[in-house]
Amino acid sequence: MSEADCDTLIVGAGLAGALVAYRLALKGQRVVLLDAGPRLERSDIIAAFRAAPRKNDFMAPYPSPPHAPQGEYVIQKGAMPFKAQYIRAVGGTTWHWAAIAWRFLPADFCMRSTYGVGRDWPIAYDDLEPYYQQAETELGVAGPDPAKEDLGSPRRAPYPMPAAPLSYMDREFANKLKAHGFRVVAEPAARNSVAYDERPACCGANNCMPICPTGALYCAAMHVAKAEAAGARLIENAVACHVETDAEGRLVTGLRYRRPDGSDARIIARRIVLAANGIETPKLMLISRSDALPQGVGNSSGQVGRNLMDHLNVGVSFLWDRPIFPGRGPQEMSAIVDYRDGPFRSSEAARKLHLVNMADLAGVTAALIEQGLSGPELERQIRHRVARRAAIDCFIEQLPDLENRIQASRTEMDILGIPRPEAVYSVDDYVRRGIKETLRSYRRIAAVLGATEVKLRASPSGSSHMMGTTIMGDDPRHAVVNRECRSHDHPNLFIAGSSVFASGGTVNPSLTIAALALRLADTITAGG
Amino acid sequence: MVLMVPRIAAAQAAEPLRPLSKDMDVEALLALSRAVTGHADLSAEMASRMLAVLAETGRLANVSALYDALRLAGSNAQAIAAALKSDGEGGAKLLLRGWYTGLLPGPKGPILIGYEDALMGRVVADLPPDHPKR
Repeated sequence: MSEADCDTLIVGAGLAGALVAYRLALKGQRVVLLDAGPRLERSDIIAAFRAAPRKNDFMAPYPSPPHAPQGEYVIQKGAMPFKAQYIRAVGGTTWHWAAIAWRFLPADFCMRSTYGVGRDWPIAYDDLEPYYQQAETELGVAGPDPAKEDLGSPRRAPYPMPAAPLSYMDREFANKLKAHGFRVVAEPAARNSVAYDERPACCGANNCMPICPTGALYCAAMHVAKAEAAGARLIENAVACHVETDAEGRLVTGLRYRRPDGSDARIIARRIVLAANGIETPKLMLISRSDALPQGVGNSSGQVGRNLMDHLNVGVSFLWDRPIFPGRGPQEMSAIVDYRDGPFRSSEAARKLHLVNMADLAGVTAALIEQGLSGPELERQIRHRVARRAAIDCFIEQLPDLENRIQASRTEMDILGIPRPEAVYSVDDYVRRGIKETLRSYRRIAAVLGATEVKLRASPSGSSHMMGTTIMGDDPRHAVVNRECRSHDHPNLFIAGSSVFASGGTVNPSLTIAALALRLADTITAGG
Repeated sequence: MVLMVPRIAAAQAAEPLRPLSKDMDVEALLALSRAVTGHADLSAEMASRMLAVLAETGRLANVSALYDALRLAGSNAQAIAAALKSDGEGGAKLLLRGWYTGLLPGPKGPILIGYEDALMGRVVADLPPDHPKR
């Protein structure tokens, strides 16, 4: 064992952890930031992407070291597999994302009081609005002029950058659908539309996932570097395995972690921030059992690991009635927002639909060869189809449900002897009704676009947005953290990340994660 | 198979396939590939990787069978068409998949043999139709 002291120990060097570390280090705190995985170099990931057979496998270029495995490491125990795709490395899963950076809607924070379903957050949209603005500045978000395009989330200032110009396909999409009454908007994105924060403007390589080749797209490794420059200490390849407390189980006192060689180390900390994502954070809390805390750390409510939420998605692909040339510019730019909110949410899941700006060149080519085409006809058909094949995807909200949960396996261990996470997961009729309506929308959109060869993907899959597993609420009997993201059980234990979400809304959680992390940093520096 | 016989026949006529004295080598694979794809400027490096993967995955015989059939067809367009249409061992599809997508099937999934040189990228490149890279 070795020991080190710090003011704040942060577990997880992804988006939330990096922002908290940066802000606290700027304030002069002694900060230690742990991550289970290694540092990554962008050039290495680009090289691995070029060598990867499956370019559409967004995890393929990323290492999955034995001590911090990914993918099938999460054991599936439910009626439906929970899609748990996350990068265990410094910077986390912001290494590959479309960088879409929506704010939640005000109604997302008060689902129970507004629509009679789900839960209310103990904070309102207005409490988070200043931090949304800060998050957009820190990450560098480009978005439409609020005077011209209302995205439904009130804001006091414009985006730090103007929205990137839409691709030809996105413009055609918007023009056609708006003429038929759909509300189509440009999505805000943490991807530079102009040079910003010493990073270049997006060059339209159309490779946001799995790896932006230039760094125009925001990655949390950028804030890890800023945190280190401000004095924070990063320990990579450090797999947290036990949160320690005092004998009474009241204050957290430190943390044990395991190195890849199996040896253990301990860090003593005045406070701990768990920012290891919606699977790893609850798992760590559950395995941190002691005589004083037989249910694990922060779990007097029994809520740790429960209320697991994701965004479900179903899709549609089709041949447009004219060439629209997908794959120019970023991978996602436009969304249909008619179904993000409304009275229907009392009985049916809300959703956001988005146009996929990726060309399925390899898939189209392989299919045509398999059909027996060759020579000029093969090439003519490749050009014809790739220029017309389009797809729409969506995020369908899910309500918190106690039965959907992450738990720590009692029998299956990882290579370091640490329990693996188990996911117990299913979807309910609220989601199914949302799926049904989404498929109906897809059919209508396809008709508007004059589409042929319409293929619906009606069986839902997840989006790897792990939310709700250390849920926020005012009542310690039913929530893990309070409105400050502070554990109800341990005044010096905090949680950052989407695991504190009390609802999932219809947009990816990243900007809300960032806003909550910045708010948490303020709480801590104010004397937390 | 929808065959563009004139183009293939032209390639074939320009470069008759020689009898193989032993196993297929890179030059022979390139000559066959030029005939099947109609592209004259194929990457020798990619051909070398293709040859290695075909040998490792036990599929070289499929391609050799196609080579023999096309060699015997000579410059006879109908015979070339018949040889490609029958493609009993799947050699033509293998070559087309390899050259166009840069992937060949392997026991545990596709194996990458090329990325920038894969023909599919050239087909959709933002280049004029008469550009030499097309």
